[in-house]
This record gives sequence, C-alpha cells and structure tokens, in this order.
Amino acid sequence: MMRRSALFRYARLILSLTALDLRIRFAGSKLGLAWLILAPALTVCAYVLLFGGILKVQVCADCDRLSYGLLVVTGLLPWIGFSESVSRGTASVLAQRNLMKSRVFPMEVIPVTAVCTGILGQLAGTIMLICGLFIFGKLSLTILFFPVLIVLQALLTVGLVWFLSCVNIIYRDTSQMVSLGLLLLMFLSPIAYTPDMVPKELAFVLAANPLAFLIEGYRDILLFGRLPALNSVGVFAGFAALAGIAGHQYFMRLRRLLPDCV
Amino acid sequence: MAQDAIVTKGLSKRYKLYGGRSGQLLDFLGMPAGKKSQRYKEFWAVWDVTLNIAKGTTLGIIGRNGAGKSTLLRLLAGVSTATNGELIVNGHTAALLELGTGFHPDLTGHENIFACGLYLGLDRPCMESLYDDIVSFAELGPFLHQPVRTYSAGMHMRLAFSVATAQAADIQVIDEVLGVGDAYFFGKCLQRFRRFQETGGTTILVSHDHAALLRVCNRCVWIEQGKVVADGPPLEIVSAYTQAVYEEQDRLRRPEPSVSGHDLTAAHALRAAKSVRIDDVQFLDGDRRVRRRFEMGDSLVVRVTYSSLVVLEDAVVSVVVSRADGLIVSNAISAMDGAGLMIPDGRGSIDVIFNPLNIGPGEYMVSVGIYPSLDLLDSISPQHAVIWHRYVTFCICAPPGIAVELGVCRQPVQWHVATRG
Repeated sequence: MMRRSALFRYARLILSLTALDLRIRFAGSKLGLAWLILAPALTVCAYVLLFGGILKVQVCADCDRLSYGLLVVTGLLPWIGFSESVSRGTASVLAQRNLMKSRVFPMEVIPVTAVCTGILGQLAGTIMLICGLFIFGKLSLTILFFPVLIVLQALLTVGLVWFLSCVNIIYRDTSQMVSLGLLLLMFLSPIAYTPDMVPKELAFVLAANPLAFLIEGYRDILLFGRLPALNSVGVFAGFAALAGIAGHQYFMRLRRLLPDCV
Repeated sequence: MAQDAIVTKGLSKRYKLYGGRSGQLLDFLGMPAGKKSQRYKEFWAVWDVTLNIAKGTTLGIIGRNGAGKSTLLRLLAGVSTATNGELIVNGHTAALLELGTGFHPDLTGHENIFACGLYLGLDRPCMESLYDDIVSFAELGPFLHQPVRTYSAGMHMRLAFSVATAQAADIQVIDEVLGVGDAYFFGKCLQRFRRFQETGGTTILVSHDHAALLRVCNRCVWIEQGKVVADGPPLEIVSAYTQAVYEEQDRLRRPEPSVSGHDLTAAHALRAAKSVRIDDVQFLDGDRRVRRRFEMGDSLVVRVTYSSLVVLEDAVVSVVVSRADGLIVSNAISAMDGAGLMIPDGRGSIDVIFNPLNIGPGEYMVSVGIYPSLDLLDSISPQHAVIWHRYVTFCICAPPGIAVELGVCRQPVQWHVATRG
C-alpha cells in the first residue's frame, strides 16, 4: 500500500469532515446547498436597504446605488466568513464531546473543519461576485492575490478558534462572550462604511482590527484593482502565523486533558 | 513480552475535582496557583494497576459502581491519558465504550455508516469494503435509507454495534454494551465475539452480568476503589466478589417485615401478621451448611427463621425465586404441596427443601411470605402477610464442563428414538 504523508491524510480527513458538516447542516432542508449563497445574498440586500436606502450613507460624492452595493458585498463577505468560523469553531469541540470521550480521534481537526465550513459561505459568495465582475468587465488581475488573503484569514481564524474552543470546554460562557464580541467587532469593521469616513481620533480602532485590514484588502483587489500595501500584508501574515502557531501549541498541550473535562 | 497484548505498570489516573469553574480555567490557561490554595481536590479513579494481558485473553473486569472499571477501560483504549504509570499496547485497539454516540439524527443510516467511518479513522474505500458486512449484520431493512432519528432504540444499537465491530482489530475494549438488544441480536453479537476470540483477538470487557462474564472470559480482575483486589480464573474471582457483596449486604441489611392490605374483614389475619416476624433467610446445602453458591442438581434448603407471638393454626408459607429482571422462576406455596403448616409461637425455623435443584445457572433472588391464611383463588386483593422481600440472593452455576446455555429450568424428560419401517 502506498504510504501517504500525515499532512495529506489530515487534509483528506478535514475535507471529508467538512463535507459531512455541510450534509448535516442541510439535511432535510429543501433548498440545501443553495442556502450557502442565499444567506449572504439576503444579508447584503438588507444592508444595502438599511445603509444605502434608509440611512443614505454617502461614501463618495458621485457614488451610485450599485457601487455602494459592491462596497457592502466586499465588506460583508469576509465578515460572514470570519464570524461564522469563529462562532462555529468555538462551539465545535464541545459539540463533539462524545467523540472525544469514546474514541481515539485527532480532535485538533475539529476546529479546523468548523473554520472550513464557516469560510465556505464567503468563498461561494466571492466566486459569485467574481463571476459578476467578469461579466461586466470590471475584473482586474489583482484577483490573483485573493488566495493569499483567504489563506491568511483562515490561518488567523484557525489559531483563534483552537484557543477559544479549548477555553469553551472549561468556561462555557466563552461562546456567549464570543457572539457578543463578534457583534461589537462588526460595528468596528468597515463593512457599511469606508475607513476614510472614520474620524481621525478613532482611526486607531481600525488599525488594530485585523478584520479591517482584510476587508480593505479584499476591496482593493476585487473592486479597485490595486494590491494592498505589501508591508501591511507582511505584518498581517506575521500576526496570522503567530496566532496559528500559538493556537496549535495551546490546543496540543491541552488535548490530552480535554476528555477529562467534558 | 511479545505475547502480551497489553502491559501496564503502576497505571494511575487522577481526576481533579474543582470547587468552581474559574479555578479550572486558571489552571487551563496555565496560571500557577498560589502556594496556600490548591484549586482542586484529588481523586484517584485508578491506582497502581499492574497487569500483563496475554494475547488471546478475554479479560473480564468486575467491581461495584464507581470502582474505576470504566476509567481503566478508557485508559487501556487510549481515550484518556494516565496520570502516572506505563501502558504498552501491542496492536490496534477498537473501543466500544459508548454505542452510537457518533450518529447524526438527521442523516440516514447509510450516511451515518460513512460518517462513523471518518470518526474511526477509516477512509472511504475501506468503509466501502466493510459496508456490506455492516449492513447485513445490522439488518435494518428499508430503514437503512431513513434518518436515524426515526430508528427504534434497538435499531440504533444494532447499527452502532455493527459499525463498531466491523473493522478488524487486535484488541477490543468493551464497556457494558453486550447486554443491549433483543435475544436474537444478542446471540449474533455473542457469535461475532466468539469468532474474534478464536482468531486470537484480545478482549477486555466490563460487565455486571456475571453469568455472561463466566461464559466468555478466561480471566477476571476485581477492582475496588481503583485498585486491583483480585486477579485470576473467572469463577474464583466472581464468586469471591459476589461473596464480598453479599457479606456487605448482610451487614447493611435492615430486615423490616412489611404488612400489606387494608381489608377490614381480615382484621384477625392482620393482627396475626403483625405478631409474626421473619428474622432471617438462609441458604443451606444438603449437609446443612450455609452457602450462597449451588450447582444444578444440588439440594438447596431455604431456612426461614421466624419469631411469633401467636400460634398460626393453618399458615401458608410461600418462597418465590425470581431472576434479577423480575421473572418469577418458581413459587413454592406450602398449601399447594398439601403441607398444612402449624406455626407455634416463640422462635423457630421453617425449612423449604429444593431437592434436586432444577433451576438453571444464574443469580436468583428469594422473597418469603408467611400468610396467616391465603386464598389461592384470589389473585387481586392484597393478602395479609409477613413478607421478606428480595433481600437475599443465591447463585446457581452450571455443572462443570458445560458451557452451553441451559435455560431457566431443567425439566426432567425421557428420550425415545423410534424407527419407521
């Protein structure tokens, strides 16, 4: 039999588990996988209606409804990916407590799987968006930078979720606090507005928010056809790598203790 | 060492019992505790267990609830990590600790088989090769393609057992799961189990069903408060354990004869019943020695010691032998045997002699009733009696050299062969 590397096996396991996760999520639902697109699409509509139609947010002097819609879409998709991953991931290990208690299973893949499922909605939405942009001829080559951003985003999220899912086992309040924190983070991220609309005194909030960087990055490459500043990408990559390594270390150190705590 | 499937040396497991969640969280985050305040109390669920389990052994673990049996199993299965000590496992281990926990209620049985495969670490081609075997063993019929939430408990269990045992393993670790399912499926499980034994597989199982343990095990370990108390041949260990349990029961026993019934017309019977007390129920063998274990065909004497303030002219005594699941195996009623019992006042004893003992192997409970009068035609209204209810148990073992199932009773029969022509 061919010997496969452990990493390859893990990747296959994560893919299969993600597929299983999706099947469980949409088991018995009529629309099934269509929800993956439908949910973000409806959220975007609600945002455009609220901020564009009712609050009439003015991003620039000559902006029309469509370009504001695109702005919201590019802001909302990474947000959906991030918040889905974090909230699912935090609860993921606790949800699989029976598995942990009754079988020898590499539990570290469970949060990773949750992040994969969480990011899928974002991916599906982005692919739709790219198709749309392509049809209207507005797509620029900077789109090739997209995989870099999404990998960095996944790395950051996985690191975070490794930590949070562990703590959630002991301290069940974690998932409550996480959902509250995510709500707060949503308002502090430039989803329905742009960073230049933020007063100077509050600019540091966006600078400290990794999600703000991601949203700006996605907007740059998808809408404005320019690459994000490479030095800030470097900083972000370092930050994501740090989160990933630290989260992994933490999870692996506590993994053996977890079955006794659930 | 090569022929040992599992070797443990001084295996111990400590659980930390925290006063509150925050202390546990601080420990979890790796914050050191102050010198004065330890955040938890220690509880050693398994303590200094040293075992060499040879390949091909079927080892039964017995002990009371909370003795640490399941914790030990989880250590051996690798699900939980030992605090101290050494554990060497030679071979692939399959754990049946909790059946069917990995099932997703909304997925069909078919989908769940593959989902379980993922959790077991088996890839799709491997699961596909096992699939037919799993499906035919579980016998779900048309339900295979229905969501698992529509399954009955038995179907759920059948599917779980089939999946868990489909994969070839060297060592099986089983926690109290053999006793589920109907008799037909239990037989099938047992068959699969035997085949595993024959192919040299090692099994470690925990069960409170001592009869089942005696049937399948060739070694037994008795665990008490996390420590190995005794280790040896199953019959020896099981009887030592049951004897210890009985002795403790005897120490704790508070016999309280109960008086039941409210029928005013039987007031005299009530009065009579109140004046009688059953002091003890003992089991004796043919030589009138007290015993708790008997063999089929032995003679068993149930000795009921009583004290009475009145003379009961025409008392009826009944001795009910029932199985742990409540099945009444035999009800000996003195009136039916034509024995009109006159019970004089004072203290005395009544012997009920079962000779020969035609009850099959197993553990039985005995309850005794003394009725000042008993209407055998009346099965509805409560009858006044002094009742000694299920406080005492005895055990019947199969004759040596017989391992097949002998049934609840041994009905005397004659055999006759006729030839045609």
